[in-house]
Amino acid sequence: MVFLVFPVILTVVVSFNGSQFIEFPPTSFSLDWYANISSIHRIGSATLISLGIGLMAAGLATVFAIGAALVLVRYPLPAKPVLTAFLLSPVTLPTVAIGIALIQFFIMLDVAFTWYSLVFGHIVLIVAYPIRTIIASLTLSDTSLDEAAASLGAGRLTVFRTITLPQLRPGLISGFLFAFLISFDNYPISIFLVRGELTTMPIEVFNYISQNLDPTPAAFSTLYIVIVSIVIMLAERRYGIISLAVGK
Amino acid sequence: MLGPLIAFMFIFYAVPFGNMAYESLHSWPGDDKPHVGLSVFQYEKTTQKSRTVKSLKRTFRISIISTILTFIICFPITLLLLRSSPRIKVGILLVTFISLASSLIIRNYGWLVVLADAGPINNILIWLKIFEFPKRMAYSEGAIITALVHYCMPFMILPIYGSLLRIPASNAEASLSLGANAWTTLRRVILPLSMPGIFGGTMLSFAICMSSYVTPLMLGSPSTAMVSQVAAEQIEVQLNFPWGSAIIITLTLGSFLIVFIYAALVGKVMRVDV
Amino acid sequence: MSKKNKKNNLKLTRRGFVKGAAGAAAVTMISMPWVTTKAKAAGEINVVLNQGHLANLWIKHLHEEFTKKTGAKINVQQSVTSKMLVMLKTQYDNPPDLMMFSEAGVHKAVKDGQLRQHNVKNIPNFASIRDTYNFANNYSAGVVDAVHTLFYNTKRIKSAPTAWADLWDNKNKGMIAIPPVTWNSGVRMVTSAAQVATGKSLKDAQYEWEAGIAHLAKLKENGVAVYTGGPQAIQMLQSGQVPIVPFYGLFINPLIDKGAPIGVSTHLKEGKHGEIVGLNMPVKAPNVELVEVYVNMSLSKEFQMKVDSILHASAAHKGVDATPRTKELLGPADNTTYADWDFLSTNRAKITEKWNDVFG
Repeated sequence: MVFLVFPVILTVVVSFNGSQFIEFPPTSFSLDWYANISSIHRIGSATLISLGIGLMAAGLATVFAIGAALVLVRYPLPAKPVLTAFLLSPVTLPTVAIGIALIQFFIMLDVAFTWYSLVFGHIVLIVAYPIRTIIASLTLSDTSLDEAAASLGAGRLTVFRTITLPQLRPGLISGFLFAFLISFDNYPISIFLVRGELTTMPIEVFNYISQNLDPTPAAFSTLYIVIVSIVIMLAERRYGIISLAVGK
Repeated sequence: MLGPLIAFMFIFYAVPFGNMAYESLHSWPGDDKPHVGLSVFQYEKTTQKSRTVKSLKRTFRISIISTILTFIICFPITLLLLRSSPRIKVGILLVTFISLASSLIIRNYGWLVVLADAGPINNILIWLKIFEFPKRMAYSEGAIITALVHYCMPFMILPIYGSLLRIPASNAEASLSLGANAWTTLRRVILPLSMPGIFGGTMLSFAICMSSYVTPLMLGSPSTAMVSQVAAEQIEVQLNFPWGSAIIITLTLGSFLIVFIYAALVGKVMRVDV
Repeated sequence: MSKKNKKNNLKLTRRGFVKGAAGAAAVTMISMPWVTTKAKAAGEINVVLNQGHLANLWIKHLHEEFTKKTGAKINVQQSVTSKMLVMLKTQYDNPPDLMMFSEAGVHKAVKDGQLRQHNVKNIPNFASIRDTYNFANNYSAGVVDAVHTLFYNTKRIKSAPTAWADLWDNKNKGMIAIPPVTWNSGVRMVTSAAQVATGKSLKDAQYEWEAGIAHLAKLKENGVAVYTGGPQAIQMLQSGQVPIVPFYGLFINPLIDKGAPIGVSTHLKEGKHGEIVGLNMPVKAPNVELVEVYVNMSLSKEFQMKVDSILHASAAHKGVDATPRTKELLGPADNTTYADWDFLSTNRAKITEKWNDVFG
């Protein structure tokens, strides 16, 4: 376990080091690198773009996944295993393959390097996550409640909204969260689909790391990890997503 | 309800891949003998050019080593998870999840920090007077393997843990009460029963390592290039779409084939349902 | 039951909030012109600078003045020659206004019809540059000579290497590095290796690149490290991990000034590598007049003096004499050799492939 957290702890410590080079143990204390984060080329707009793309892609993917999961779990379908495998397969491929395939496709359609093509590209990769978590939630859910509500006169939409959806809550939230994080962090697909002003946070951070040797990325990493940790701990406290994923 | 997603995936997933496969059968203007029409020239090229062949072998080797190392490190952790109190359990799992959620670029950067010339490892080695000047640790195959193991840990822990959870505690108790010691119990009762999880974890880790792109890009050098990098190079720098497509398709199919064979083997040998 | 309903409502609103946020984001994004890479109406130029210290010099010392003078905003990107050549191809119809790359790329770009000639009548300072800096018949405005030579860590190596051939010297085993072939300096290493292998001068040896690569391959037995990035190389040099590293002076000289334990080989038997970096305009650059102002400012005596005093590189302007410190770091000018980049860039794909076969 120490192995797992060692690099992270070190990054945090290094981000406070005054030296211009990456060194540990630190020789001095300084918050300069946090101030220097703004010098990462276009980091502000890149982060906003990543955020927007992530929210849209994860949102759409989750909506798609709800419909798909409901059908896959509750309705008899001849080609079910094949369909499920198809929908979940992008995760098993080299992500670079998806990027290469998509950029050629988008160039053909003349919509390359647009923000919406980036959203669609991300959806292909991330939709597997909400599908998996929602299916997990669905298999744990109780269809008898649905039937009871229906027999009491509730229409299908009402049944869905008041009975099914709340039971799916952990699956929805964890699926959305994972989908968002995967999209936000994605490099191999984005790198092929962006150009010019359309850029993402991982791409700009990576560029900075390849061109500079100061610990500014350490400062950025520390901020990122702190924010992500808070979000995940909140999600676990409220919705118990970790317990769901492990199947307690 | 299922329709929209299937349609979407068809348009943005199946079709582009089909298109890429089609593209890989064409020739590129810069090829030695450009040909008209379809042929497997790009695939032949992939098996002939030393850069692609070397990178394929290297990718396979690195993936195997990383997967084995990851398993060795993670199996004890999952056993620990099983025995610990709920609070520690959630704690470990939380850390695992946060590690998963932290950007890959950030995690790899963390390794650049650890392995840096003035980083902790080099400083300890110099302090212990083993070396006088820092050793080159980052930008090597070792660095890539270390970072890959680090990346795969969550993907190995979770499936194995899930599998272990499903083994009734009574099995272990029965074994112990029949006179077997802890090690034998582990070897002959727990290990076989957790095979589905082990298979899932190793297969996932292996697939991840074979496909890795960002990790070798950040922590490697030209002589440690893995296949995804070589394919990306062809697309981005040379604009050689046919060959780049062929290379990445070769990797994908090769990966699938290995996993398939692995599944068949495990199914036969262990006689378990994976 | 009511408590549960309350919770459900809260949950729905939270999800609703997230969906609403996504919707709002979608609307703002559709209305924002983030998609286009065309420069917006005059009042903005897109400039791609050579990454690292070169870009920083322009950004710190020229961009503000330019904006003050013309009112136009500068969108700057940093990149390397090989990527910029790809940009010229893929963004032919919608290119940046100006790109900074060296002669290694200019000849090929001119041949492929991707650059436009500078209208020197509109750029008065063009007349003041040294002849070597106008190496492509007005297609490129040379602004600085990026000299590439051997640097060494003074704590570990006691005296400066005197020849490229020193890299093959057994006593330097495990202490040497070379740049990747994706860098122009990596291609020059092949020419230097050819010089060492054949004993001929650069003028003739550079055409025997195959012999050069074969000889370069011998460095593997001498424990050579191939670096892939500037920061890597600088760290290796600075910490002494790999104490003999070929690199571009204008990146290292400022560090030496700051007290880093690095020394420079000012004279190499086979000749240091000179590489003129110029400002180049793509054929369809949209903002020609603004770019001409930019180029003119880059060639002005004041700015060129900064090239010399800050980067300690050889300036293009005839009126700028090298300061003593620059002379000290650069060494004799006649030891700097320039290659036939017309030939080298035409054959670059083949050279790259052969190099990859050896080191890949």
